[in-house]
Amino acid sequence: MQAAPDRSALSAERRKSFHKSVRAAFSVVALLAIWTGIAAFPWSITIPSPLASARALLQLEPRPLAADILLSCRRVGIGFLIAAAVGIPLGILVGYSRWIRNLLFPLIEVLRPIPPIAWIPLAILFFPTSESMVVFLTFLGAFFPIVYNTIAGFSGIKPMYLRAGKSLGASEWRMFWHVILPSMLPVIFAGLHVAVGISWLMVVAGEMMAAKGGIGALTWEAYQTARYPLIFVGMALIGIFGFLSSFLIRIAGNAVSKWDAR
Amino acid sequence: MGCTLTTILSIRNVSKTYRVRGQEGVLALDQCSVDVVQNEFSVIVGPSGCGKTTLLNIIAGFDELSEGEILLNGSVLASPGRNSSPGPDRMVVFQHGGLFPWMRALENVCFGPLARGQMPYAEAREKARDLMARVGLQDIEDLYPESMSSGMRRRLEIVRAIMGQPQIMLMDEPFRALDALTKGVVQDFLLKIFDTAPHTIFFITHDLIEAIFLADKVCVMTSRPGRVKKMIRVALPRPRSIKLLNSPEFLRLKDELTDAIHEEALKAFELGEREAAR
Repeated sequence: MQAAPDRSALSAERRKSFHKSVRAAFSVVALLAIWTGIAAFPWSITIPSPLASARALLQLEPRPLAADILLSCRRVGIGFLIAAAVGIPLGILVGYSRWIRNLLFPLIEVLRPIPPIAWIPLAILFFPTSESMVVFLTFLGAFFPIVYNTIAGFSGIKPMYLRAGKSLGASEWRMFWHVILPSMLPVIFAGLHVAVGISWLMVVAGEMMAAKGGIGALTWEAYQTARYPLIFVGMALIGIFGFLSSFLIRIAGNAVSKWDAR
Repeated sequence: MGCTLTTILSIRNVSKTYRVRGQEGVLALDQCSVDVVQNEFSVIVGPSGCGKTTLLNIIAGFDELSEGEILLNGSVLASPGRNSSPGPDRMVVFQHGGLFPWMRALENVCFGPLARGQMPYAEAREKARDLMARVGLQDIEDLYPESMSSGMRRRLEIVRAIMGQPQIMLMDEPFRALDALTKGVVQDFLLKIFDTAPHTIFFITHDLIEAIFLADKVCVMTSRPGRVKKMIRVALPRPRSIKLLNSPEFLRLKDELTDAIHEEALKAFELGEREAAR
């Protein structure tokens, strides 16, 4: 029987999570301290300190900054969602049908090792607007990890669960929704987690090279106009929003696979 | 029904050859014949690798046979080239535990009847709760298998199997991974279920004590290729308790069974040694 956690166990649990947040805070403070130390050293160029970067952030007009952030988020969001909407069903089809697997799997295997960044010149040439180009790049970055993990999730289903489902008399349809899909979801979500990271990589690369606006463009323009503190602002924003998107995916993953929550 | 013996499952001269590419086939089962009578607890014992699980998989519809035939209630279930498909009339309790980890206890148990539209949800839930309570699982309906003990998981899987009132329950060494104490507890619960309501059970094990303790009839299989070597009736009274393990009749049966199987275990061991040396 599951015993309810008693008081002392509860407080031990709290103490543990307190210690965890102390450690997390410590690493961030240590990074800022090292950064301050490096910035204080008399290099031949001036390196902006954390304080100078924070000041640069505060001096930015909030409205265009918010617009840049939203723009990048939107580009990541659209590309990522299209990749999930296409990639997950495609991965499932490849799993279900030997015919489709024989047709598509070699293609996927050949295209997958090409680093998504290598697609940028082609994408610039091909897409009429820089907007569609960037969205294509975020889609592309997310697409392969999603397809790949979906295929892996399908082939990783333990045969025993399929047998149990059939023995219990489940129809094909119920097998899919209640046995196959739930057992795949943790692997699919692991793929989504990787995918959203690559989408952020691609949005920054695309914005630096060709697109107007967005956090990547902000960072690149900061370099070109020699406003160095802004470079750090851009980097920090990319880090924060990249982290937030991973976090959201983890929350979603835990919500749909409570049994496998981590 | 009275005391007429109805054969539920009839395994007739079933052989199974595994074809390995580039080699001659490996004979896993050789002319196996067993009759499983309604409401009888049949146990198959045999050394590891003797094809017990293959036989069960053929009955369940997970594997096909090469020769012979299997009848369920008098009609052909499987014959060469026509393997049965898995179905709720032959529920399986798996060796490594086949509960769905993504479903809570109650969902797992209700899955079968709901999948087949056998009963409405409310009825399935009531029945599940009743059965779960009978095996001491009343407070766990919202737990995922992950957070249950191994003994609870085994009991729950048995409950899931009997929910749909299968014609026969196929149990593939279900208690193999359990420690001795837990095993005893789960065996007691299984016997309790068996004693309160009639079930036809086809149970595989390599544990001789377990075999005698549970069975009405024990079939000893030879080492590979598996053949039925001996059939022993266990006429020990029911309900059975752990005290029975020291009764003279139990010890006599154990002796008889040990003699029958020890030879086979030796042969299986030597076979394994020879194959390892190759």
